[in-house]
Amino acid sequence: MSGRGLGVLLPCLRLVTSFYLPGLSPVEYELGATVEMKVNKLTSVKTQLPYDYYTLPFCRPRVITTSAENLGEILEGDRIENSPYEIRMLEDMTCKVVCKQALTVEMRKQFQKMIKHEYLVNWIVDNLPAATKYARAGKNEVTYINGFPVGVQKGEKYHLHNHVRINLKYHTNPDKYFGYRIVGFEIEPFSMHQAVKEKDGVLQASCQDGDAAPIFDLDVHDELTFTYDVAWAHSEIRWASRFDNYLKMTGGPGQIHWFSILNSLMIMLFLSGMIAVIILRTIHRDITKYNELASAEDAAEETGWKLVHGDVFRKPRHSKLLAVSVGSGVQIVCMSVVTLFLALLGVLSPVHRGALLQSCLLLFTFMVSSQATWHRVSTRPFTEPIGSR
Amino acid sequence: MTLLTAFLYPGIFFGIFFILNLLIWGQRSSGAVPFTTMFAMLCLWFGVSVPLVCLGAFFGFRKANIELPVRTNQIPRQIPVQSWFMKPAFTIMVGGVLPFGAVFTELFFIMSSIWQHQFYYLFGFLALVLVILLITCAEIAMALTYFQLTAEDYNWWWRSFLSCASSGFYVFGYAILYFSSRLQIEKPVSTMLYFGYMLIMSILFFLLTGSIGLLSSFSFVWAIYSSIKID
Repeated sequence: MSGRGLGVLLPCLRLVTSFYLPGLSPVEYELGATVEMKVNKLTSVKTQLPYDYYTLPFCRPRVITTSAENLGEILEGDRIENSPYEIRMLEDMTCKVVCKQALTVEMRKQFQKMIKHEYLVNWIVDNLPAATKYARAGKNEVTYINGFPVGVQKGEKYHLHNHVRINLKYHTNPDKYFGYRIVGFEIEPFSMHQAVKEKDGVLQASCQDGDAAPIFDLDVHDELTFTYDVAWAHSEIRWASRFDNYLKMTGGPGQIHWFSILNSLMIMLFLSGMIAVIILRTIHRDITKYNELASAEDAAEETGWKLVHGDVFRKPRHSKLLAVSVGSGVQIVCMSVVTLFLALLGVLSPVHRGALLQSCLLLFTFMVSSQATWHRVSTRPFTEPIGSR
Repeated sequence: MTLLTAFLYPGIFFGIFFILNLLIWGQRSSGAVPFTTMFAMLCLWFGVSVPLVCLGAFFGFRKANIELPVRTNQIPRQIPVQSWFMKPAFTIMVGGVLPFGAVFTELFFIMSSIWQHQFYYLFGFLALVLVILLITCAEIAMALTYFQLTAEDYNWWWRSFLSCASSGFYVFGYAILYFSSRLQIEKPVSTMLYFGYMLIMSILFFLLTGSIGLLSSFSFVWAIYSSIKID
């Protein structure tokens, strides 16, 4: 079976890599080059229903284009689209206006509904999802969450996050490559009412810093302005390890998890070892006993499992269903093993959106060939007319 | 039988997925799979999966039969009355505990990554757990089959499958527990979404552990009966 499994694996590998996998090789930006910011779905842990970013009346670009997607991304509900936010390499900005629009009752309701369901906005820069820093309650450590909230609900009031500070981190190494690589993307969301004035046809806003700014309450204001700051900072993180912060998101005192997992694994190993030893020894004794008895022609006194030798391969009821279940089961086993193997090699990591799901699906369909062979062989006894030989 | 393999379980998975998709679509969510993707998945199923099952079956038929070490009698033997702890329901429920126990800590992380949108990256660990799971399943199935045959009960085919596969029920039970303790899902559609996907996951686990149980028991039975002399 393993030979056939390998034969199936190779074309699969080629297929998986030939599909679009984002974020595989670094991109270098020159000074002042446009860094495209893309928007992804709105997600909520509370409803588990993702929505397109532009279902909410955020600022829209002139034309909305959707980026290429693979099968896994579509199944996960990803919709990656362009955005009107303009970011340039190493150019800091403060309180830049994206757009100003009148806030209608309809829009208010939409925002309130999303804020109530704790929806998060997901942005992407250079295949790096936006992270929000937040301090764990009562602790001194900082963790990250994926994306940032649309707004916050304070009792009956809804505060919309209409200003963001985009903290980007870059890494540069003139000896090895030319330009700058993006290694960090953090968002600090704010809710504030900006003072907006028009000057030479361009909207200008002044954002007051920190807590001094008046909060943007959805029920109070009837004009909505979206603004953003961009701050670039040098970072020692190399491009290859830029995802480490995200992977730490699982959070919690990690060592406790490790300890508990390790503990249960040890128990498992010990237990299965014990079972194996008992079975091997008892059965060995049984077999020698049975064979001695047979030679001593003492067959009348035999007990135990030898007695059922005439029935042990009797066809069970609903054998067809059993055979089909085992067939599909083997398929799933092969799928899990190969997927995990690929994941271990680093081909499938959470860094590559949708890759895991997609490869699972593809492998499941391709594994059929290997499992069916095995399945025919192993279930042969069922299809034989019993007792004919 | 070949066709049943190609259609039964993929059909169940696709059916659940299709119903859930209708629900998501009813909510105007972007999680709904568009028609073209649905079509692509159907193509994968009918265009790749089904022909490959038939191909596999063709090779399977051409292979030589497995020689069974013992002949099956014409008349079934009477099974003696079994003590309570050898009753099917009991052994099946007990058998599932250990495979479930081997995975449930990892299950917690996987569910957090799916439902709390956290990244999952402990693939090395998961691989280790999978190996442990496979070994535990095989051993539990062999042990239970051995005890069963010693008690002169020969209906081991289904029993060996189910005694491991019952861990799938435990997985679903854990999903219910996780839902009530860790998640704040209130919407009925979201609840159905959660349980629909967890059902698929449990069935997958059910089949995975069950088939390992049956195959290991089969090779075990085959091995012990071919090592004794029968007149």
